[in-house]
Amino acid sequence: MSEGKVVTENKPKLSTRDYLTWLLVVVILYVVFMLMGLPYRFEVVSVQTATIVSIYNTTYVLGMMVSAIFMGTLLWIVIKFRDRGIEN
Amino acid sequence: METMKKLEILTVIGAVVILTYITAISTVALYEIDTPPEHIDRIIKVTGRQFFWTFELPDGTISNEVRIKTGETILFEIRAEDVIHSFFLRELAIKQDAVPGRVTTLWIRVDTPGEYNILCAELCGTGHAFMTTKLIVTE
Repeated sequence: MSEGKVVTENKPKLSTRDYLTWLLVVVILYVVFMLMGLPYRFEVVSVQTATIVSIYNTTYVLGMMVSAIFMGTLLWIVIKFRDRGIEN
Repeated sequence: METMKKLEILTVIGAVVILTYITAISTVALYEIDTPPEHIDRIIKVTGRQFFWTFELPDGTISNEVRIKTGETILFEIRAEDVIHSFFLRELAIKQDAVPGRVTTLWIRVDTPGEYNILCAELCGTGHAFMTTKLIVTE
């Protein structure tokens, strides 16, 4: 190996299947979050309540999107790149 | 640029866009909720004490529960006599702190008649859980 050259042979390459699994984990997690939080029922009795419920739902849907991507990626990485021991 | 780098940048930009959007809509909504309309039908003085609420109506009547009409715009002037309480209208999803030495305000306009719970949402002592009363809205 010449000096200054970056070694790329050991760098894990992701296949299409890996990307699909990753996406699937994120989507499943998002669906779980939606089932957990969206059945939040609130009878709208005033103008302010309508605004508050609308903000809650929007924040929940968008916030869980960020959360699902972050947590789903973390979960997928932990499982995908777990230590499998010494391979012979 | 390699795929992973693109994904990384996309994720960061996506998160920033989403969080900025949430901040923007929340700021506008908070302003709407906090700013009372120009026309107020009644001002009711609310006082929180360990462990009950009292309401003083414009005619001087003092009560432990509050009765209003649908569509009526009410401004609550909230005070505390002893420790910090929090005036919480549960079904309306709205609350305001009651701080000794300060007057805080909260406005409501309820469109649906019914009985709504008023609670204390700030741990104020041993009887905190029982510091409840009703907001009765009639047509």
